[in-house]
Amino acid sequence: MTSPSIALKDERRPVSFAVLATALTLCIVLLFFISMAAGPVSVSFLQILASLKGEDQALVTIIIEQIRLPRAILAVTVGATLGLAGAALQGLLRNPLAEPGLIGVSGCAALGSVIMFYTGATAVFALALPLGGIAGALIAVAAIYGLAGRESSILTLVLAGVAVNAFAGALTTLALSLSPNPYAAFEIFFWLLGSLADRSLTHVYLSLPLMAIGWILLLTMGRALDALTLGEDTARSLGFNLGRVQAQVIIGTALAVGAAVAVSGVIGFVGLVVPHLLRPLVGYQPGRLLPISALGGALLTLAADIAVRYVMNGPELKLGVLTALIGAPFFLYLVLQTRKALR
Amino acid sequence: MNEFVVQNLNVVFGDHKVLDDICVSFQTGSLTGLIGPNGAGKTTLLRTLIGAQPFDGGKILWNGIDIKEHDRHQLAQNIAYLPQGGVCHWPLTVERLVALGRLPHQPPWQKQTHEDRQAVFNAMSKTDVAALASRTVTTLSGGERMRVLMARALATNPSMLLADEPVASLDPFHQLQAMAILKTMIRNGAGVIVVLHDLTLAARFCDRLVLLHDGRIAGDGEPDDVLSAENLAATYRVEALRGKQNGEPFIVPWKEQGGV
Repeated sequence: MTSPSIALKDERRPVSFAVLATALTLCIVLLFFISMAAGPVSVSFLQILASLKGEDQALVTIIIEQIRLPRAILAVTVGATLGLAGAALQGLLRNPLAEPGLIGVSGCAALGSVIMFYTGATAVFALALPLGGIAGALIAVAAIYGLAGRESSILTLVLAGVAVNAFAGALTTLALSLSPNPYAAFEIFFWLLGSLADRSLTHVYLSLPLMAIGWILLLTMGRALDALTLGEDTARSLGFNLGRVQAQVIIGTALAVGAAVAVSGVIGFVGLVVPHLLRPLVGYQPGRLLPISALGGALLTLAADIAVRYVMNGPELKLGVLTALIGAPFFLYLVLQTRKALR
Repeated sequence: MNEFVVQNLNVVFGDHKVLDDICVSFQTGSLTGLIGPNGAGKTTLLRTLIGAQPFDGGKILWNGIDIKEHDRHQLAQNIAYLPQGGVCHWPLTVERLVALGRLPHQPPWQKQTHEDRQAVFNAMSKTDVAALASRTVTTLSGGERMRVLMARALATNPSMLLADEPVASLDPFHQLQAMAILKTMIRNGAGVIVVLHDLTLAARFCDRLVLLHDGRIAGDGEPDDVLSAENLAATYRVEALRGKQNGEPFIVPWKEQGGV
């Protein structure tokens, strides 16, 4: 007869949580600096450190602070948002195919920004673009609430998301085809593809606080998502208020993804690929997956944003195009894998 | 003693009354079997008790206070629910799944205490799944999974367990074992409400049976009285063979009512 204490000491886990988190963080720091160095003008790491410390180097400082620093920061924050929101939605819906785009937040945030393009508000003041995206995301949340209600079932929620997304897509296309100015339509088209190029620190300041609130709302949902592994009724019997859990995940996602889409355009599939790849490393626990998936999202987006600077000669490949090229076949593979379960 | 009191409970799906003016109470210290034919409202009654099913009239009291006014976490520490045909949406290991039963006792951001680990281990030993501790739940057979989910409910150390057909997918050995576990819980002062379809298990192990039929209570009391030939004919529409072994009853559904 084995004694309980011996049998219980073994906290078996595929990879230690602390080791995994540390490794991902170190990789992010490394890629962050590579991101600052990568581009048409070569900059050494010493120059990066010097200009970040404020030692005057004129041109290099301008490149670092006004072009590459905002870009690297946004890759981390937008990527973390997408990874975290994907993991949270998949935990809530208990469906590995769920993505931030699923409940219509990305689509509506894009629509909000497109309306700003279309009305010419972006020409009047630059901040109209991100503000429009955030407003769009908030409208998406309101619409989801109107359609699905507080105590709705998961299926209703998904269907409501599909409806909101389709409506946002239709309106966006309408705006594109009605645009009197071909240049504006062109601008909208390219913005929809998603990119982190030519962003400023203003974009960082505007989006980061809202994303941070969203992150906090999502990261505190770990236990509830763990409980949901056993189904809605059991989660409720374990003391969780499911209406509140749903509301918190949706609002957290809206704030974080809305702010992210507003400054980056639509970067798809990060929220799908990252949680799927990292899930086995945290023993499939939805709660532990949240912070790990945020780190993974930041890492993948940083790497992809460095890659787009090199894969094509001439104009940069759009980040959203690269993630879709990798993500879409991956999505198909997941659909084939989960087809049985969805039937 | 802890107690559920259900007063004039009504649940309506569309124009169908699933629960029709139910008045019943459940106490700790008693193994209560909830029986009745398919569609009688057994699962709906259990789901209503844990707050998962909104109701259209009536009242549910836990220890004299309306269930809606109780603190959620306190209720969760006291009342455990084991749903029918249990699901597990992610391929967790058995040990991790059973540990989910400790969530009501763990403050957020806190690691498992020694007490938590002890409760998880005890629950796994009782249901005979300790040997499966590091297996992935999705690779288990239906019966093994049900025992793991039962261990999850036991790990909560509830004062009242609501179990919906916990023995339906178990082999005979584990059916008897599961009933014995529930019996032990009663001896330790807890209460159990268990939905059963096996009339012999109901007659042998339960202290009290509540017979539901078309959303109404068709019988409530000692197993011998509730499982009368008239009741079985009126609700289940079967005739049964009866007998006793060492003073304990067995009851075997034998033919459909009016059949030959």
